Amino acid sequence: MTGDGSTATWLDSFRAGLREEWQLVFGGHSRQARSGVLTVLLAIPLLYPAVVAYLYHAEDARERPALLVDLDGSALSRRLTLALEATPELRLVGRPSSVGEGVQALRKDEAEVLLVIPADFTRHVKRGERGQLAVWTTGGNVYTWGIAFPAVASVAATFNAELAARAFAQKGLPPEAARSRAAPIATGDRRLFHPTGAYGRYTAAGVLLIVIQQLIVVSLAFSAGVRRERGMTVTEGVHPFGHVVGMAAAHAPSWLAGLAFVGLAVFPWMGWAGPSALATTALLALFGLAIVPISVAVASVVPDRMSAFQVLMFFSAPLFLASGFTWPASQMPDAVRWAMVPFPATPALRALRIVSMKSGELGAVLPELRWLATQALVYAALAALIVLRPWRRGSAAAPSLRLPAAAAIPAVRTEATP
Amino acid sequence: MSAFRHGFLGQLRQLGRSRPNQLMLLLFLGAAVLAAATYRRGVLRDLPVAILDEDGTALSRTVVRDLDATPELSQVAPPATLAAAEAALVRGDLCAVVLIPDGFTAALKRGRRAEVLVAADLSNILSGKTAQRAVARVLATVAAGAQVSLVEKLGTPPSQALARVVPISTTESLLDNPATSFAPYAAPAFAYYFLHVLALFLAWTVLWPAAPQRSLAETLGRFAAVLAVALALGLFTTYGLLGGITGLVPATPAVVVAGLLLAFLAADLLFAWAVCAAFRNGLLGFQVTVLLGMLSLMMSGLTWPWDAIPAPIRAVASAVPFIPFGRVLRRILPGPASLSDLAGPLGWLALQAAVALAVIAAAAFLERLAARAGRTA
Repeated sequence: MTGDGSTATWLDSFRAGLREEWQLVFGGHSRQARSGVLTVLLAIPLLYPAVVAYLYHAEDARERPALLVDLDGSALSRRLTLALEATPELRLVGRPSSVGEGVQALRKDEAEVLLVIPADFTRHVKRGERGQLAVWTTGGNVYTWGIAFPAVASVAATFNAELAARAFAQKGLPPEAARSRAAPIATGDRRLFHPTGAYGRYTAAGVLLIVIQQLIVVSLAFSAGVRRERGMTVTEGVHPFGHVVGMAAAHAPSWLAGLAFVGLAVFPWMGWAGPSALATTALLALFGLAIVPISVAVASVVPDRMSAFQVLMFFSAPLFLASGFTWPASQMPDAVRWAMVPFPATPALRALRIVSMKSGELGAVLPELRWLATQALVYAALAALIVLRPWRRGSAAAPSLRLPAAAAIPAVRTEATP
Repeated sequence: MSAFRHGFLGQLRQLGRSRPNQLMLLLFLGAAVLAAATYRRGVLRDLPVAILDEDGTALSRTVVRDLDATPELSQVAPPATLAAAEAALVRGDLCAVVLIPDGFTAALKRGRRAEVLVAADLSNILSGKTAQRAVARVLATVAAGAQVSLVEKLGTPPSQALARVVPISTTESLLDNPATSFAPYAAPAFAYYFLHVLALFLAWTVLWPAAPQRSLAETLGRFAAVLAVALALGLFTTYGLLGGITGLVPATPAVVVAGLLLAFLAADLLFAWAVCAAFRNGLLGFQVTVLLGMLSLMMSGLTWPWDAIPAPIRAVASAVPFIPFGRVLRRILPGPASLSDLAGPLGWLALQAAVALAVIAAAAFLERLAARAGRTA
């Protein structure tokens, strides 16, 4: 590299970007001088995964709090109560004296489910009429309702089979035949890919993929914001693309460490890696690679640190929400599905579902990988266009890439710009 | 008063002129629209299921027709081979495969247990469990029909036959969500979560960069501007977006809803201010605010239930205004909420605001002490 920088090569720009970025990340001894980039590079890949893993480590929310009102008080209703109490999905927390009292307790969130055995329950059953077991809820949490109600229905089905067998036996059928007739169709349930049906495994892996996205995009954008606040180079200079890629290279160890932590530590430890932790980690790495051009493009335009967070944090939750990872894509309006096509998180999350829960092979997600690759190419071209345009306009006026002689990181401005 | 007004108008101008703030507001609106639109349908319908009928009898064909007739399921052409079926399940092209084996009807008629194999893709527990439940319902109905036929043949009057074989009926009553729709469950949670994140970020447009020379009146004026903007967006989200896209309009009167939003957003701004003060107006405070803000939805109990959240995380989450507001949401949307319904969450918000004010005051006091100590030194 020469004194005036005019014959600096792409590699020189890359090295300059890398060197400056290391200084920015690790430099500064006072609170004012520190850039905060290191906090971002450490907190996002370490803290978020740890919190998410801890949050969902219970995997499923069993023992839903339930209230029971037994207005019948018969032997049958007491047996039914015992059976309901014994289900692992329910936890009886109270016995209100009336339905009204029970509903009020539901509204106060004292329980999620109210079970009501009416006063004439056994009388109806003995008379050959149907007895009703009512299950009430506010309906606020559809997920926990999906745990509690099937459990109650299962208890009722067991009692129905027993009572029906008794009815058939009374009609003269042998006991074994009576039992078969009482439950004539058996469903052989095969719960594929995710036998426990646990919520944690279903959700958290996708959340962590988004965390990786945020790590890569936010850290570089944040750093670019710091530089612009301090009047440092981002995409100015002879080889702006080389410079910003050098900045990205300085962050890469943190990105790789974050990926490795999530894919090779958190996922396997929580049982979320699926058939192959390596394949899942490789998928995360490919996704990370596809995100880098977006990261470069965003870093090229973000004006300050706060903007980096302000704008980018609004992408994470919507991308997860509308990706089809939780709420199926087939159930979304076409407009939403099409709106999600440009985002790398969409094919990545779909691939993650397949690799981490089903096949364990990247070969099973070739369509998604092709989609991701296409996006990466498009975004790389877009990033180049965004970064290089200023270079096309004024390469003669580009500042030198040499660091100032004092090499001290300038303190951040603390006054608001009018 | 003029300092307050100066701050109020100055902040509005700053929000209006700043490109990142404009973009953030647009992204918020886009995210809220996306939240509402994604769950617009509310219930899962037409999940693809392949039905292999190897029995080929009138009864098995009835089962097939009944399965296809359920709104949750949509019968698709069964894959030609086992490998193709497996591939379709892996790719997500099939939600479930139902196999009615040869001999199904014969077993049923002879009083032997007839088995139907149901293989459901539970990698997505929403669609997998929905498909399983729909199939189970159809098979239970068919089984009940078979039992009723038999018990009538054995001499039970038709009016009593069903009660003899299925004596206990389980009825579900979802007071506020009778259709078990995901729309009221998820769409408001996401939409107001975005509002919460927006409020925190807008608060930091007042707090950062730090302006120690700014008077309290001016700072309050700036916060008032942010509060006004956030409230306007909150009301638009409630009655414009959620109401317009999903039809979910709070049954609670609008004045009450506006008051609740005001309380929530004010608590949010105080929360951000307190975190800023606690971290001595440094950027770390902003990063902590962002971290807590982004985790709010997962910690709120709106999706993953509160009692399943580990106690230490619950303790931290208790400081975040979005958490009590989540309880407010569950009350104001389905029916007119009374003061006693809202007393708990409102009290919680008030406590958070009081603690935030205490932290802000303590931080200001300590700063003044430090400044005085610096001067005397």
